[in-house]
Amino acid sequence: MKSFCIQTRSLSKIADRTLLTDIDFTAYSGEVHAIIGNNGEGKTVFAKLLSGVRSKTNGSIFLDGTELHFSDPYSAQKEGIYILQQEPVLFPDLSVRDNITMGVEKHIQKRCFWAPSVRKLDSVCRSYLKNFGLESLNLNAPVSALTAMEKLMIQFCRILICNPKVLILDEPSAMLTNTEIEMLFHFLEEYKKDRIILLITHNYSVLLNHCDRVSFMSDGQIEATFTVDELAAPSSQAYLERLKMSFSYPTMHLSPEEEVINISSLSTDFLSGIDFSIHRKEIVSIAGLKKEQKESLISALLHKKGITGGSVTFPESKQQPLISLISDSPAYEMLFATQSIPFNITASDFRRTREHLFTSAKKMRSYGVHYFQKLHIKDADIHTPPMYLSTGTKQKVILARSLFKRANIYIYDEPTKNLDSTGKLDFYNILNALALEGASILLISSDYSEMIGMSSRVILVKNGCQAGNYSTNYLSAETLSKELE
Amino acid sequence: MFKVERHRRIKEILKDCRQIEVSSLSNLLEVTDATIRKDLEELEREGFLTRFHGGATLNSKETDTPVGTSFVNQITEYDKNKEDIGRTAAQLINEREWIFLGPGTTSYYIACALRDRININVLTNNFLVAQALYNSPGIRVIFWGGQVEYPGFYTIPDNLEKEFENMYLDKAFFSIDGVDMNAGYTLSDRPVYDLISMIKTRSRETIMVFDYTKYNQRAFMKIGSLDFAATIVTTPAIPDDYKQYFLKHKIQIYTTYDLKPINF
Repeated sequence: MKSFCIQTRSLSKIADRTLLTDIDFTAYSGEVHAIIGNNGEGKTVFAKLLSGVRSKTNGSIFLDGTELHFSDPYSAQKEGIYILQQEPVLFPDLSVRDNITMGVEKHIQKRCFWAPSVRKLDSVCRSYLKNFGLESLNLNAPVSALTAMEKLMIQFCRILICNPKVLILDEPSAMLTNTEIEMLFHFLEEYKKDRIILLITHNYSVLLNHCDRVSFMSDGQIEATFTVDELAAPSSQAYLERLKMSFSYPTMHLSPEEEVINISSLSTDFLSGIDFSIHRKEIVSIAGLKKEQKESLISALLHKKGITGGSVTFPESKQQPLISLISDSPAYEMLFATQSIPFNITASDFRRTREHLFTSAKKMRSYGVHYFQKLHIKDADIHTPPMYLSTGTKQKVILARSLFKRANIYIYDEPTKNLDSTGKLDFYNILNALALEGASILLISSDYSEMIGMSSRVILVKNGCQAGNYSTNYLSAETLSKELE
Repeated sequence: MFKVERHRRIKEILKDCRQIEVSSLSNLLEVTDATIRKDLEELEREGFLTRFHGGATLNSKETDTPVGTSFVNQITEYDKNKEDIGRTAAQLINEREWIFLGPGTTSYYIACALRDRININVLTNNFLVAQALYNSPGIRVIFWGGQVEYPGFYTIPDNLEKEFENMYLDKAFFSIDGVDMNAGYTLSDRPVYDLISMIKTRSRETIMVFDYTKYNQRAFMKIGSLDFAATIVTTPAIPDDYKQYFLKHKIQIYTTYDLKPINF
């Protein structure tokens, strides 16, 4: 097959502000071409333009010399351009099999009046899942129960069946652990032949080992493109340096006070030998937990359920203390979409809005306005229906709800997953303020630099066993990720 | 007015005047005498004040300085934002560190937040800081002599170079008069300019403290562009373009959130 390329000429996108300006970009077949840049620089917008998810304002896109015009993802797919998006695009209640094959039947079985048989579908699904070590996945199970990585791979398999010419992967590494990333790249190594693979990422460490060409994106423009060999040259170092310096965390180490949670050699069905404690005014993070391990730890803390050995005690309080939990479900799932913002904020403790025997709308509103001002929510007012809020603001409303609870212990599970850097900044500072007020915080995270930046200790769990309890003073993200491998 | 808010106001007022009558409080806060009496009773139980017939007086523990010699009250108005900033900034100071607190009332609030800490060394040329800390046993204060600048209540040493010979600091806190995208950090007091440039070279970290009123303001002298200090402590209402700038330049941003619970 002869080689081909995808090209853009002065591609621009203007929405509420200018997102992309005059992008001239070329990627060749047989290569993994990475587009790298910090959050909010326009990488995802670029990917979405190429794949028809969003429409361009100006400029043109060429595939193999012919100009393409598309208005929707489907017309881009007809040209062989597919995108693996960051957020899940799945039918949560349908089975794994249906999710993989839905809409792509014609690629599985050509020219046939009948739908392909379940047996055929199964064998196709397994053959693709096998690439990622998921061949034993139950194809009849609904996808809602799967992990983020499995969900991502299911979408990926759906795309692979279509045999894309241009494959765009938008931040696949955000959802994956390091070994899973290795596996993905191992697969791409073979797969990239006769195809163009565009990889959108802000994680520079994947570049050097796996990509052939790298474009740096900043402020809606492609600044420079290098081959991997050129990256070693001093002229390109400046670009790399800029990426390496990631977010500066507002680190605040308060001197911890009395012990609030004591977990000693705790084991549950999924965990064993978990052993740590959290003090007042302390933020502790825990890394390396899988979904079911997370759940069993949380239920051991909240209800003391499922404990098979060891103990969870709260030395400070006689009864179970108040614990406020924010789970890792997306913000829109945790909000009452049809209720007002004050309702959403006060939902964690209705007793406090009580006036005689009823909840008072006036009190609810006062609390709502109070927290709205405290958290400096800017891009909305108290009357905005929750569904119209931006992701960052939704997350803040959920945070406000959690603060309204006035708990002693807060458990936050991947709270910054969907936040951009300004949203993160606000969140981290609120976290600090919370600790300053005397709360104890357990941060469940998979972002190593976040854990090191924000907490005083990191608990490392590997295969369900505690592998370490480190002070963050002398810890780097690299060491942590190595420890977890 | 809600109770929490009332208590806060009473505390503020009492901190200012140290002693007050029930009747004037009830006038100020527009509530009845009975409510004020109840509030004072609760605050007495908290140990904040002592009641006497017809009024209340601040307990000495809460007193900033011995009554009578204070000039803090004359020149500083209570400012909630600055107090919050002081509280947050003080958390950045670790034990055994040598810090510099520059001129300005924000430094005074940082000093106030440091009062109960131990094993901290403070170098300052700010009278307010010295006054806030002089009777804190856990804190060593070195006060710099020199010519007194009246409006700002600070001194400027005659020979900066000489004073600073062989001196190294961990953290230096400065407040400024204006923060502007083009003009950078600006100051109106000329003498402080030399001081800041000198101390920056001798300090491991330079930390800028300012509240939201300083954005888009320009003063007389530019001390540096917005990436002059690697760390800033400010109020959360940072204008978007500034926030982007700070994030892009990897500046560590601490913002203050007052999360004290409230009851309506």
